[in-house]
Amino acid sequence: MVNSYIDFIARVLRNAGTPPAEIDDAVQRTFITVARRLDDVRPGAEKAFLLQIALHVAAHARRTAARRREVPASEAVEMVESATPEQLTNQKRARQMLDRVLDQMDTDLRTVFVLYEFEELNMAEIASVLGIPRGTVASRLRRARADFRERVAAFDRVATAEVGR
Amino acid sequence: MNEPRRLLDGECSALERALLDAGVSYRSSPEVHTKTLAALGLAGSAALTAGAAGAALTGQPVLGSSVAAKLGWTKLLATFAMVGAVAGLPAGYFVWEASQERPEPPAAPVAPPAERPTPGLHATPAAEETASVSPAPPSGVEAEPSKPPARTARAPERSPAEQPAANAAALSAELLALDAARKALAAGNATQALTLLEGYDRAHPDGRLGIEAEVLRIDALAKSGQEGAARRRAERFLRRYPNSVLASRVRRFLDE
Repeated sequence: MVNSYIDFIARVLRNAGTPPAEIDDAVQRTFITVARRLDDVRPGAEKAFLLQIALHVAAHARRTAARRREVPASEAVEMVESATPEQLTNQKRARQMLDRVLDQMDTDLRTVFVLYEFEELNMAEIASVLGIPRGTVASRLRRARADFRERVAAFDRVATAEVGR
Repeated sequence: MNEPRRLLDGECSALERALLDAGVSYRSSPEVHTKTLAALGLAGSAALTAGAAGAALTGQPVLGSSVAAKLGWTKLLATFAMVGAVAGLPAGYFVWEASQERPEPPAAPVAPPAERPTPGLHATPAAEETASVSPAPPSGVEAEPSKPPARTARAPERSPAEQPAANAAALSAELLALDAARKALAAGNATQALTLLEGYDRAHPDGRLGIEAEVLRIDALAKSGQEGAARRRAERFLRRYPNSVLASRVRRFLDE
């Protein structure tokens, strides 16, 4: 289970707002929690169960970070797929910008957006994991996409304006 | 209800695509993989009070047995090693590959430094040896935290190409050493577990699984009749690592 899902879980935790410096702990918490409740997992539903726990862990991490009024650790070491220093720098910047965009989004919208766009879950799967109607998933996804595009466009405008100075 | 196309599969701006790519491309580090297996190994052992890790997080009662208990810790280890072996090299390959792609030096730690065990956490080997051979020593057996542990001789400098492979080998060795101690403890041989943990300390004075080793040691001390030493170590552990993944299990031990 660890071999099959650790990247998936780490990515969900990261994109769901777990502070970068806490990802390692959060991954371990997720798997330990699932291990303790393995008898609750229906055969074939391991991924969904892991996902539910990971979202719970991410929410816990976000709340804890908010309580501590932490500045997100943007410099935490992360694994990225890249070949050249330039690409790596670009990816790092993109990751930081993505963090800012996602952090500004409403949590419910963010969760649906992350699961659909990054994890490629379908709407029925998302509805099942989150325990909400499929229509609500569709509605949240629509709003999340609009929100995402608006915020990215705003970043783009600022960047263009700075370049033009 | 139709499923809309993913943004990455459709039309989006260059910046949107870059951000979406960044979200999709995130990967966990090989080190977190190993540490997760180590943590699950501890969860699978009889160490401390079962269930605190999950219960502390979810607030729900613990109902299930552990992954390690079902699959077997050794099987998990073997699976982990086999995945690496099939890919060409053991887990170290992935460390090497990652380090080749990053601007940091290959030996740069992946885990946050704050989580590293500090020298003060471990007893000196000599003191630990005394503790492990005596069934019920006086409370003063435990080493003073301020006393630095004996260091092994400094290894010769390795070339950048050798370093990651060496790191991976060391991590695998740490994992095996802890597994041996865990098995001894699970078999009811706490004294042997303490001896093995002592060996772990000597072999890996700056071990990356030091926190996991310390939790095993607390349990082994308690089970060998050294309740006082175990409690002091547990309290020190919580002062140093209050937010560790394993802290809730140590707390549960102290609450008993």
